Amino acid sequence: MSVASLKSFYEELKRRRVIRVATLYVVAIWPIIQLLDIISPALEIPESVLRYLVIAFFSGLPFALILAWIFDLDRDGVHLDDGQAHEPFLGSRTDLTLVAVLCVLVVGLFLVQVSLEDDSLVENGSDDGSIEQRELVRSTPEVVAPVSDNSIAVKPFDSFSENPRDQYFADGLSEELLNVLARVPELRVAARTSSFAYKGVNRNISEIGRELSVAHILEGSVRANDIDNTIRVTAQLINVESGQHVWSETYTHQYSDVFKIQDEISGAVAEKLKVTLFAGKTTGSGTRGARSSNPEALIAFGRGQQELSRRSKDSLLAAASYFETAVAEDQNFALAFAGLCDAYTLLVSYEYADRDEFLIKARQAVDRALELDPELGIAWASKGLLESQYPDKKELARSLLKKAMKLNPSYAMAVMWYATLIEDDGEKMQLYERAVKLDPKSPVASYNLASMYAVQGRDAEVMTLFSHIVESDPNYPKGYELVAQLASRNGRIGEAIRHFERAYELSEDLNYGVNVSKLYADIGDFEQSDIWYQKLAGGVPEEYKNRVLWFRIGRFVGAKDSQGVTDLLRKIEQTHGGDLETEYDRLLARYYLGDRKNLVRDYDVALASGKTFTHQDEYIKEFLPEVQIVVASQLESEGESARANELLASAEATLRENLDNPSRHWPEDWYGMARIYAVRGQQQQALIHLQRAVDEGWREHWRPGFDPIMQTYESNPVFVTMMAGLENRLTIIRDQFEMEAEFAMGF
Amino acid sequence: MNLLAICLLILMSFATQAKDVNDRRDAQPEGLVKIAVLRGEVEIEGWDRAEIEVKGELDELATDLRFEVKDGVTEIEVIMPRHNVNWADGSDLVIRVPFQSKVAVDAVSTDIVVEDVRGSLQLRTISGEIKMKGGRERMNLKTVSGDITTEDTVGRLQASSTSGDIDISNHEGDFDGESMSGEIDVVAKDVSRMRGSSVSGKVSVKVGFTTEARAELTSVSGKIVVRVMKPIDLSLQVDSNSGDIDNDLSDDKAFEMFGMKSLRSQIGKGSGTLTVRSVSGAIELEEG
Repeated sequence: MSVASLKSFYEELKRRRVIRVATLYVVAIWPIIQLLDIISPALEIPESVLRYLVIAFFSGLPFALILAWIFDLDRDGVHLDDGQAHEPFLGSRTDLTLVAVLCVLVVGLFLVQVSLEDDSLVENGSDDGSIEQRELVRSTPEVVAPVSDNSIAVKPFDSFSENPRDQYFADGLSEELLNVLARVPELRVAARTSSFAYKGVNRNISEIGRELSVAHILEGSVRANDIDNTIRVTAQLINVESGQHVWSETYTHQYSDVFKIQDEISGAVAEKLKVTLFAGKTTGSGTRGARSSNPEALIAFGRGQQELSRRSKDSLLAAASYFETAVAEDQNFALAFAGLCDAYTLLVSYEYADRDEFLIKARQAVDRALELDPELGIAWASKGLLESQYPDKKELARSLLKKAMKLNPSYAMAVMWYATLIEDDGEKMQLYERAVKLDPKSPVASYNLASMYAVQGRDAEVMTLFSHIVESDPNYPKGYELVAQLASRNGRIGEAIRHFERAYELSEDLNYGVNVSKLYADIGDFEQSDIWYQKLAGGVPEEYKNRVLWFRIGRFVGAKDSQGVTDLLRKIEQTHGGDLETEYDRLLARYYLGDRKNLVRDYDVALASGKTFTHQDEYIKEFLPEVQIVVASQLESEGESARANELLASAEATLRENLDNPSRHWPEDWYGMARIYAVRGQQQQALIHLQRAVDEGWREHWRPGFDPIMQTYESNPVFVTMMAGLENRLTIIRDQFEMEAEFAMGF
Repeated sequence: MNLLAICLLILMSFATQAKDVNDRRDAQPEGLVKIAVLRGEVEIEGWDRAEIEVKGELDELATDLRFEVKDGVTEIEVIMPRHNVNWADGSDLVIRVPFQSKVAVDAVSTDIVVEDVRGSLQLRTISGEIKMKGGRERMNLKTVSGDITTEDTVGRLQASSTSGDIDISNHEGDFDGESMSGEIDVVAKDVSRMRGSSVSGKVSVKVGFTTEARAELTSVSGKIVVRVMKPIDLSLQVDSNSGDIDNDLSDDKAFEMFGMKSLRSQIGKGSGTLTVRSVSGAIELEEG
């Protein structure tokens, strides 16, 4: 097509007013779409309806153009185009007026939307107002702090680059800003874990502010120019309630001047929030040691922080590695040294690393951090965590953590670690709640609070926090442990297995694997129990080996493998240790092996040996009654009823205390009570308590067959019915696992 | 013209959704469909085509969607980064599958809605809800902190939630339900096997049994209300440690023995067995 014919076609389009119709059509529907977008959340119009309407509006455009081409609208009305020029229906002045009115409407609606959305100028932020988002806001746990005017969250700055290094640099810059602001005593600064949870997330400012309970949000972007080695940082401070920009500024500097940019931004924020930076100090060398201007160090530091929050072995090792890189890049980077100390210490705390070696490395790291910046609260918290690993330094740890909280009142980890050292449950709980308020998206803060609730039997609150943990980080293993424990204690074995398995997959923590192996044995799936046991072989710490062997016995009793049972009991019987637990384990093994001749004497010898329990509290509540009951049973058979009754009374007192404790829900305690009544010969009470054990969630159906005390009831019809009912429940669980296996295998 | 260009550009930017998905594959009419969605909402609908369609939006942080069909098994997985799962908007997917498909969903913070899928179903989520309508075979539904709601189902239905409620309406066939602190509410008929168990939540069933049915309802502290539809042909075994037993199904009254309350009764020939047990929750039995 020649230029002349194109021009002629364009003239024809103009003559038939096709272009004008197109312009008017688009300008007319724009305000309609905007209006619908604004009012749809209030009217709860589904997004799909809006989508269809937009599609419908645009589908109409071709028809309008075709109609404009075919028909002519002039002052005589509508008629087929006859190729002649007519006086238009609307004069050009009216036409322009209409466009102007529509333009005003567009601008007006745009402004209304800006004020409603709060974050219209955010490069990556817009709220689609979906129901799902509102649901998430509602699901935030009840532990929410009142919003203080002097509260702020630093949203991770965006990077205008596809290069992940630049994004980590932007993260590092954001984190540095967060740390600088966190030093201001009058400011409450949302913790890193929580504010960084919004990295790259399309959520509007008012929602973020509400979820983090802050009045202001600092956000921005970083554009790196590798050619002239400069960075351009845009920062803006937004009031959450009004959505207004309190302040915004763009800075362009050399990479090496990153401190200057941080100081200028934090200075501006402090001025706007009417607080004084650094408690009256200037941004001198006293604080600069915490920070780094080295991009590589900042990048490694950002990655280290991300890994540190998950607390699994892999993530803690990765965190340590990143912090090592950060301090190698910048040997004056105090925050990275503090992070390194945390990673090393937590590896020891979770028993993932050699204690002596890693605690020495942790001390070197934190000493360097404090040498670089003696006022760095985060480093004092790291030192407190480190000292808390030594049983004789708890007091020192508490004072260090107190100092950390004073220097940096916004640092949730300091509060949380301090809470772990507090004896008083009420104070401990308040501190855990405060940690969650400071860092609502931190899985570990929520987990600690949930664990505290679990100890107090507040299962509903545990479940609320569990949901919150899963939403914040679906890969945080300890969240699943919470539910697994809860399910296990309530006889929900299938659920417990699934959640322990998930926790193990995410962390490879042997404790979870041990539980999985035991629970599979309890439901009678010996193959799976063996598979899991093999996975753990060799990895169980020495002090827990007997415990695992006792778990294992259930598997062989259930499978009616008496030789397997005997072999395990012999193994336990031959263990040697310096504590009373081991002596009692050996005694119990002999009892179940039928070697009871010297049982009472050996019990007395163990008691008189002066040996003590290694895990006293746990053992006395959970295992000592069992020892007392079997020794009492032996005494009864030897005609020593008076002494037998003494031991039974002691065991009963312990179990009743356990049962009266509303926060302790162990169905095994009811089984213990059933045994006490059985030794006393009170059959009905024994069966009633056994039934209670079943009702409360006791599922070790193999035990009575292994237990000489309960074996006497094996032919009792009530007992038989009870065990059949229990077996039926376990069959249903096995059946469900089989169904899951069928789905997994593809039928 | 400038105004037109600006308007069009703005509208085009609105219309662009980087993570939209709209894909379709041929599939076997009775094949297995495995779906893994970490968070968001997934709606699964049965249709009369031998095709599977996935439509909607992926999670803001999703890196990919795996949609593969091999040997009669279709796998649909929203791929997420393992280490960067910040709180973001989840996926919002509508998946259409052949009516007779078997469907397994594995999810975490995901609501699952299923309608008109007639093959076996295994739906698992952690903190999401499950809603199902029209299941026909074996249905295994599990969530931890969400609710489960079903209606118009036929077959063998298993539902389990830890803290959520379970609401089963108009079910035909066997039922097995467990909750810890949530309530269980079931309306079912033609039931030959039923089990309902809660720790602290109320268990309420309205049920029509087949002959020689076996049913067991238990709770630790929650109330248990059983309404049995006529005709009734049951042996009743009802026990409670400390809760009251109120029986309107027969003239027999609960008696106390060894500190426990018990009721034994036969209605009709007593072919079926209904066992109800609670530790401290009240038990009510009535005609439905």
